[in-house]
Amino acid sequence: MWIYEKKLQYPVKIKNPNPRLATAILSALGGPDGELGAATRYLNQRYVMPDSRVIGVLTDVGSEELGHMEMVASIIYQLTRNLTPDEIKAGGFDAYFVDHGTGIYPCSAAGVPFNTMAIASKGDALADITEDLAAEQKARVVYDNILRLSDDPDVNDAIRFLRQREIVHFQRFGEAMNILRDKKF
Amino acid sequence: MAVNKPTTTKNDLYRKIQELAFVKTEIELFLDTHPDSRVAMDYYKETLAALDSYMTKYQSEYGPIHASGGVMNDRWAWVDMPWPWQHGENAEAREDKN
Repeated sequence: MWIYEKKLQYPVKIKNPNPRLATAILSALGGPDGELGAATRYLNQRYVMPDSRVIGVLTDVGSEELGHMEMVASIIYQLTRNLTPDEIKAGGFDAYFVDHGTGIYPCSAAGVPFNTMAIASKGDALADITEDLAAEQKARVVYDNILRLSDDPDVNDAIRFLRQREIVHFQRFGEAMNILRDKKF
Repeated sequence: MAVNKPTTTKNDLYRKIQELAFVKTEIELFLDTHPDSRVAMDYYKETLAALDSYMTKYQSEYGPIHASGGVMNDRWAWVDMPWPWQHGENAEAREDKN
């Protein structure tokens, strides 16, 4: 069961709209290695895990990813406020805008709608935790790439927080792997 | 009265709550893989106590962060603006403009 807290995990306060940057950041929301994928992966893998601590990690990391999903959506929301048609066109945002306006739709930067095929849930603890380690690295790469493309300090502040969380999650999944190995699953 | 609005206090409390809630999450993840860690457990209890105190203060004066957290003057303040993604979160300036 989930409870919603009416606050972002970390503040998102962006002064300057930037539809081009918003397009790139869509991948952190609905792309193959984005936060919706992460939450979906962990929250669905957890049901059949053979160790209760591993269920705990997947439940709690998965829940945190939902909060990150909200942060990324907030970044995109704030980057696309009050845009003129000229700004939409100049920002290469027109393809997304035609179908979604300045609404939030989980898809990749290239416009591929979020797809569960990006994740695996094999019902096998070793396969799933190995996948999760890779997932956190892939998510970290996406944030690295966003930082390469962005020179907005407000955006970068929030992105750096999200990137750091992926690194911590990787650490926790490493410990989950050790737990499984100790129990010889 | 706008001059006397305790904007700084509200934002400070809100920020403090974000920080403590984040620490709480971080310790929870650590405890998941280290459930017997006394150090982590003690730190967690401290953090929880501090967070509870700030939450009580904030929610009683400024509105709910949990749906149950603030029935402000017997009205359902949960559906008040702003929502967390709306620019400036506490959006004092926006409320003034409206």
